Amino acid sequence: MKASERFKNKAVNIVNQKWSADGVVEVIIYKHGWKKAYKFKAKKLYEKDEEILEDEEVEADVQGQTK
Amino acid sequence: MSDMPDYAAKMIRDLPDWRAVLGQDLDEFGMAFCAPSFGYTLIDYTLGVGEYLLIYDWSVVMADGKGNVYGEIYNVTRAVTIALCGGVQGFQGTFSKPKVVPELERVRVRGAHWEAVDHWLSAYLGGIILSI
Repeated sequence: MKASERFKNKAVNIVNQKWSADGVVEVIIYKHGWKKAYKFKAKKLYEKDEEILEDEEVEADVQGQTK
Repeated sequence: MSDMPDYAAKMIRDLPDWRAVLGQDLDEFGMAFCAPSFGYTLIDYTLGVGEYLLIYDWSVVMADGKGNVYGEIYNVTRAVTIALCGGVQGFQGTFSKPKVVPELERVRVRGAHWEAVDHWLSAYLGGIILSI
């Protein structure tokens, strides 16, 4: 699952966002139990014409948790 | 949609304490390099299906200077401001009752300053996500 998909569909514990003047945002997500954080970059986040510029693959999730 | 806030609030009120304990911690941080006098989005978050965000505390700070800072928590879906505050170099606020953002709604923390030059503004939003 891609980081952007994970961010929108399941809850995480920590979210970092860095906004640029051109509307691009870098988002770092982390969930307790993960060995690392994952990053994606999007333009016009949540808008209809949203564009995902970079997207890391989330390799592992916390076992036994559905959210 | 107009009756949702009362419905959501009732659901939250009726939950025992342990239900909140089982909620998912959410700590959000955001930053932007901000020109004077404009409101900038520092944090933007949309709730999923069945998720309710209970906001307990928040802060906005000027990370690289000392000036007047204004911040607000804004519900984009309903186009309403649900909290606001200001201070010199920043502020921190704690709610004695949590601010509830119902499922599928979008919430933003926005910040502004009035210094002569651009500054970095950073924000924090802390709460719990309940999946009901």
